[in-house]
Amino acid sequence: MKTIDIALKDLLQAFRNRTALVFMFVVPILVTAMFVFLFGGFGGGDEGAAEIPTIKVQMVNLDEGPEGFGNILVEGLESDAIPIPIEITKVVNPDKARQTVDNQDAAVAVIIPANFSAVMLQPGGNAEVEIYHDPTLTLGPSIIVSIVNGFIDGFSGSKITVGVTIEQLMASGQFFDQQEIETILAEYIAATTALQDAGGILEVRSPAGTEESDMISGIIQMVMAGMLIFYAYFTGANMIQSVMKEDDEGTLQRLFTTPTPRRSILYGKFIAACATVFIQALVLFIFGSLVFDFRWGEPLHLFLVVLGITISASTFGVFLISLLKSSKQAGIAMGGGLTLAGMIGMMRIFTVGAPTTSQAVKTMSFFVPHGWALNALITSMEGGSSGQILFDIGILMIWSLVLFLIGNHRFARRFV
Amino acid sequence: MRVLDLALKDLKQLIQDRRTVVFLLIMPLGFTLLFGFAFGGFSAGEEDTRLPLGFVNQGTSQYAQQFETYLNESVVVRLVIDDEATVDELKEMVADEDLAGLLVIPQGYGSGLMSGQITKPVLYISSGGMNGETVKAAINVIANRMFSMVTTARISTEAYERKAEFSDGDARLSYQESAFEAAISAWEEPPLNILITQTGQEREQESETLDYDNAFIHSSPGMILQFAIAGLMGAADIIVSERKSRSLQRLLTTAISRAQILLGHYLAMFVMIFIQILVLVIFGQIFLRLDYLNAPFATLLITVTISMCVAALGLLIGALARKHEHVVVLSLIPMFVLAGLGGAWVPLEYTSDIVQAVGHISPVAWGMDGFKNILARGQGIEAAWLPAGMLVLFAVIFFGVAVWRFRFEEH
Repeated sequence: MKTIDIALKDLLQAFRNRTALVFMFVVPILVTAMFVFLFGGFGGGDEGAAEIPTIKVQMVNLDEGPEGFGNILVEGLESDAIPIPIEITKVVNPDKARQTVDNQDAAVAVIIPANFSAVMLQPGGNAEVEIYHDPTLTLGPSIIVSIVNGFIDGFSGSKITVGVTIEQLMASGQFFDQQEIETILAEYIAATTALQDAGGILEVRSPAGTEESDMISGIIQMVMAGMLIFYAYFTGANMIQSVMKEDDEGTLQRLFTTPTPRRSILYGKFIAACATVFIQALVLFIFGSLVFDFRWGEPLHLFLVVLGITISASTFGVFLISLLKSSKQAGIAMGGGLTLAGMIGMMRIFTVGAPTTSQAVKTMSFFVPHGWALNALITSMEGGSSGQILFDIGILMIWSLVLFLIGNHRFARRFV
Repeated sequence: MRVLDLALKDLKQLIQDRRTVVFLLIMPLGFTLLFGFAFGGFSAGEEDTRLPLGFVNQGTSQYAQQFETYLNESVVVRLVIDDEATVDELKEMVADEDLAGLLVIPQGYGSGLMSGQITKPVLYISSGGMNGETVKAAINVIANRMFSMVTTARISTEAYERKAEFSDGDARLSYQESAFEAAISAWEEPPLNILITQTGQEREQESETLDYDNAFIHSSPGMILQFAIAGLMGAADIIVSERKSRSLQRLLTTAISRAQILLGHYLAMFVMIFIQILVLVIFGQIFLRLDYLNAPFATLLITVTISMCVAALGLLIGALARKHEHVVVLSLIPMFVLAGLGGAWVPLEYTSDIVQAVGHISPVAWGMDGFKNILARGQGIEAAWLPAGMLVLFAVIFFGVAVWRFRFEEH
């Protein structure tokens, strides 16, 4: 009963403490909302859809050929068929275009060489389309490289097809005329058009389902998952920290003079921490579902994950606070220890957009319970099996047991 | 002199507080290394950093074999072929991020394309990551070129058939193969290519792919700016402690003026942040191969103006906070908001046009611009004036509001 009384008292204190409430609810929601805002989820365009930033391109067409293959490339980049906002500014001087990129007024300059058309029509020879970019940018230049590559590979393919076909015909003693060349070209164009109409050369699927999902939405949901876990552990430690505060303020000693078993005090605080983290996680999951339309997985799976996060965050708090000698060290523990452990566990989220992520990152995140909690949540989000989730939660429980036993032992030794 | 005495007292207090060392140096150094490691910053030159791509080749034709040959030559992906694993098991590895993607070349890929049908390889990639998108872009180029080569062989064979008849099926096949070989050879040196160049780059460094060889170019300035704000906690806490203990009021009974008190605290914060940034810049220069000294005056100018701006923010936090708890909230929330909005975590180029503009209401964005002009664009002092000017403007605003709201008495 005394355990429950202590738990209720701590709960009341926690929900009356505005600073604690800010860290429990406001900061995770604020950071997630900021990411949604950063990636264009608020306002404009399709509801909830991520907005792709406009890519400013300086276009220099030096092509001198009357056939105007350079113009086809320019028109291709200007085409409405490209689903990415590209703002093209046509300039004559390549140095001016490069200067504009240097001044950060454009992301990329595309410079079509003078012999662009000539190369397409004459045997042999080659031409290079220069893509000059701002080295601090990756997204815009890579999109432009990809689009230009598609166009020039199309041009190259048609020239190669005509060249190879004529060579083959000549080698086998067959004659050809202009009509034949036009037929070959028309066949090649028909084939590539059919490919475009079919939606491209690759069928892209997600490993769980059959359709490709939106990358940006995935990142934002991962950010909220990370924030939620990070601040759940913060809350767990913050709740247990009250032992140190009470010790400093002398109320703990006063409590020791009453017939309250010392074990009940820690258990009471542990129960309060569990209840607070549970409420916090529940509120944030519901908020994410309702406001950001996040899908967290099957209700039963999510319940198991919330339970796992609750117990592990509270036991981590017991362990962490047991290492402190006084509440003065709490700043280092809460700021340094929790942030370090949290960021190691969340490394998968921080590197989710990185093209060169080390594989060791994922392994590293499993050295802290946060990594297992995140893994369980991601498994639930991706529709993983109950077995997979139970495995992650099982590991989390082993972590929790070990951390609780260590913390409990240290507290017991201190307050004997 | 009194200003200096007060600043020295603050600095002494800060040095004695272990939190200061943790927040000012250990955490930013740790996170810079952590982020750099995560982004592949420590990979040795000979280590294969290509993205692992699971590969299942169900096709038996020479076209499917050629596809595999091109994949093996890719500079983006590294093939992972496990004959014992099923497609479902490999898909699970993609979901678990052990593989960046899984490519399945279907049965009948070559014969389908040769008969004019569009037979698509299937690529499995996880949502929410750029690794999958990078793999997709690389595979697209190869798949499109394969499509072109097979189409060339088909059109070439059909062109012959319009002129004459093949003696038998073998002759047709031989002609087709010969056309395919000729197409492969032609694609080795295609008539049109892309040449990629960039700001601040020497001509001999031109390449055919986008290459960002230092993973710390973003993380180092990002962490410098984020933890400059986080480091304010201890410094702003001193002001709150002085107010609560009425030391500020006692100070006013001495010959020191209110302006000198504010300047003293401001100077201490400025020195603290300046030293912090300097240590992190030197660390970046020596250990992370970042060329901050490419433009030493520009680096110094940006460092000084960031310190001015963040110190003014610290003074403002000290002015607004009534309790120690408020200092934590008033330091961490601006840290998250200004760092996030300013592009310290995710480069602003990934954000929408509005956010890119709004992001620059954060001084962090200007600090990032200043450092990135030096580190990534290889620019000099001429590219530092605008960010430095904006940082000074922010410093003036923060300082002005701090002076306006500063209370010497505990209410």
